[in-house]
Amino acid sequence: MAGDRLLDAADPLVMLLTAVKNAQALFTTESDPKAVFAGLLKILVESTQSEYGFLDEVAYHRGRPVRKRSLALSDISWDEASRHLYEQLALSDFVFPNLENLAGAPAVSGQVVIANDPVHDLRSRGVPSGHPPIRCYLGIPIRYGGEIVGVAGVANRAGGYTQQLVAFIEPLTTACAAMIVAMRDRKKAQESEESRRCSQHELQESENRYRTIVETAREGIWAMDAGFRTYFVNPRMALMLGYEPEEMLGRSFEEFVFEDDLAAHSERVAERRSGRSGEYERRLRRKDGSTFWATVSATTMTDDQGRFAGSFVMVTDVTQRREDENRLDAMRLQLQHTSRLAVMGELAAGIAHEVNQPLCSIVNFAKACRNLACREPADLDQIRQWLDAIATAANRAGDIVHRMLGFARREAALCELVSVRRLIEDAVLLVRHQARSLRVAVEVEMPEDDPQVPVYPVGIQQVLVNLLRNGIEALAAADAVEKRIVVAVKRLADRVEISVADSGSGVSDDELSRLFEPFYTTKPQGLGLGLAISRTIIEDHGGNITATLNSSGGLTFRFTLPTRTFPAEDA
Amino acid sequence: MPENRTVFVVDDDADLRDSIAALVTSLGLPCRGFPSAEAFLAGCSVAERGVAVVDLRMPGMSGVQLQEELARRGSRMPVILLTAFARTHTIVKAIQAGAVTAIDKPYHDDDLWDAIRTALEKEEADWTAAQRQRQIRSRLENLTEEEYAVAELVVAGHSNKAIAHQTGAALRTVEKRRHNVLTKMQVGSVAELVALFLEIRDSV
Repeated sequence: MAGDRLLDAADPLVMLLTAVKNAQALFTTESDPKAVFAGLLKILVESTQSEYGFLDEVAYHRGRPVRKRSLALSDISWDEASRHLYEQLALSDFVFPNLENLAGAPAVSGQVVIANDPVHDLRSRGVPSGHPPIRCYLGIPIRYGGEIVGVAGVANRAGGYTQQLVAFIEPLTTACAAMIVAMRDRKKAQESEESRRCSQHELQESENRYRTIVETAREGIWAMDAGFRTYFVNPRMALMLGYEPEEMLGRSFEEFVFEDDLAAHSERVAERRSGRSGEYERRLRRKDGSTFWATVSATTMTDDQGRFAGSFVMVTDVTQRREDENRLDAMRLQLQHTSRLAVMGELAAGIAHEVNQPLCSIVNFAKACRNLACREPADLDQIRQWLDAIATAANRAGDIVHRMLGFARREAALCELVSVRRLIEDAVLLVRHQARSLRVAVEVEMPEDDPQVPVYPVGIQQVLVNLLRNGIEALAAADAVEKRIVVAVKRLADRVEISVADSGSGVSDDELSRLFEPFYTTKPQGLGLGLAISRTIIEDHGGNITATLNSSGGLTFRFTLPTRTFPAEDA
Repeated sequence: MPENRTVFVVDDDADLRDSIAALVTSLGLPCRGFPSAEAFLAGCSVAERGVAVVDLRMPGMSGVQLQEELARRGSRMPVILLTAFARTHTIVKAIQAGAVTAIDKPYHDDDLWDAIRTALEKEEADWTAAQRQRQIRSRLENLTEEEYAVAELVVAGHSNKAIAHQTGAALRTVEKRRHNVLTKMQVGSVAELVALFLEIRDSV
């Protein structure tokens, strides 16, 4: 840089530096950079004694300059044509996508471009229509660090442009560089602020959306912390249980669970703690103490470290369905009971006989004892023996009464482990008299070991009585020479199969296929419910029942009962 | 109570059979038990004297069928049916004919014994009546044909003269035959002869 030149141009330099300083001051206070760059361009044009000029920002794509955007441009709309060009540029937002010309050359090459004969310059691509004529041109890359951040261009200095002039205006171009970068950073900050504000808005909207869903959902929503204490319920959930949402907050889920279900509930708690989700039905206690049946769909929630943080639960109201089911169950039990009573009524004579036998024995032995006691000397040994016989007979009568009452009982008995032999014996006891009077032999073939099955004994007895009576009545009506029913027990892997086979004349294929239909009967006085009820009872036990024709032409009913215990019913 | 009478108990319920046996033996009568009607018919002759206590409903032959079979074989043994308050037409008819007594179970303490005693008394009476008829019949068998004809006419109330006229025999002959009838029939008067004839006629 030549010092003499600088000294010579002392005045313009002071002017230049003062202008730059003013522009910088303006930049810090002025929010619109346009005015700042317009001022800088004015200084640039004046200090280079040019007719007009421009200040552009360079944009990069993948490390290469791809286009320029105007920061400031001398108003070149002197006539109709030039005004039209300016409007065109304004429409394209003063973006110059083409860098293959004199204006773009400094950005592409990184070199100062001095074209004092631009018409013959190879870099020139001519000027667009309306553009004022270019007699000479100076293009300077504006660098910030190693990066070309912009281009400054001026034209038509009298006498052309020189390197000295470039050196002279260096403080200006440096200031431009700093301000372009500052402007860029400011813009970036603004954009990120904008996008932050935007995303916050979106977040708010999305939250509103979810809130609406949660507030208006038909499902109850219930969130619990790691201690299963309520920290959120939606209005629907509270309504289902007859509470206000606030009343439920802080309360443990357990408080809403019935005592009988606490064991099942703690299994679910353990499941959630182990990170597993689950869906199940549970009774919950409403505020007024009534029962609410819920399908609960529970999801485990974890914190950032993956630790158990609570449970998120969706609740569907299935109270109506459960009540319907319960009513249906009650009706079914009532029907089974009614049908048992009907059977008892029909078998009353037989039952009376079973009780009468031991009663008669007791009367006879008692009388005999009295007769012996009146003699001298009394045969005490004989009397003792007969007294024992009285006790035995009384026990027999009591046992029979006990079994009868069990069969007639209304309430559903508890499921218990019972010997198959006992089940069959009790059933045979009920029909023995009928069988005898209709001259039907009932034989029981038991396996060596007596299998135990988990059943509702009354139900299975009812099935056996139904099957036995069907067989007995079929045989009574048949001309069979040998009237025989064989009850057999077969042990399978996880089941016991009990069969009741008669030697009667069987049924037609059509009848066979319809046997288990309700109200289907082949007996004139039958109601046709015995086998339908039997099938329901067996299926309730997890078994199945079939009817086939056997080799002697009669019917064989087979039903199975699982030997393992029932899967625990999860209420 | 006659010593040579036996109570036969026919019932498939062993306990009940044993208890009846206990009752009967405690009163000093012999007792024999059978598990079925068939076993009883096989093990007991028609000549045996006593009473049968029979359960109405048994596997195989029923109590009523047993009674019919006994009658067919000519036995006069009374039958006591133990029933469970289910009196069918057949039983009612049998009871009305006096062939059986029916006792509904459960019965009161003395019912069975009373029935056994009554049956044994009836059996005794029947047997005595049967004995007497046999006696009368054997006396009748000693009469000649002519004597029997005179006896019938005497019982019918005809005089000797009328009989002589009807039979064409001499009056003296009729008187002799009439004397023979009274002697052979072991009676002292015509009135006694009439009573004997009525006894036989009732039983036939």
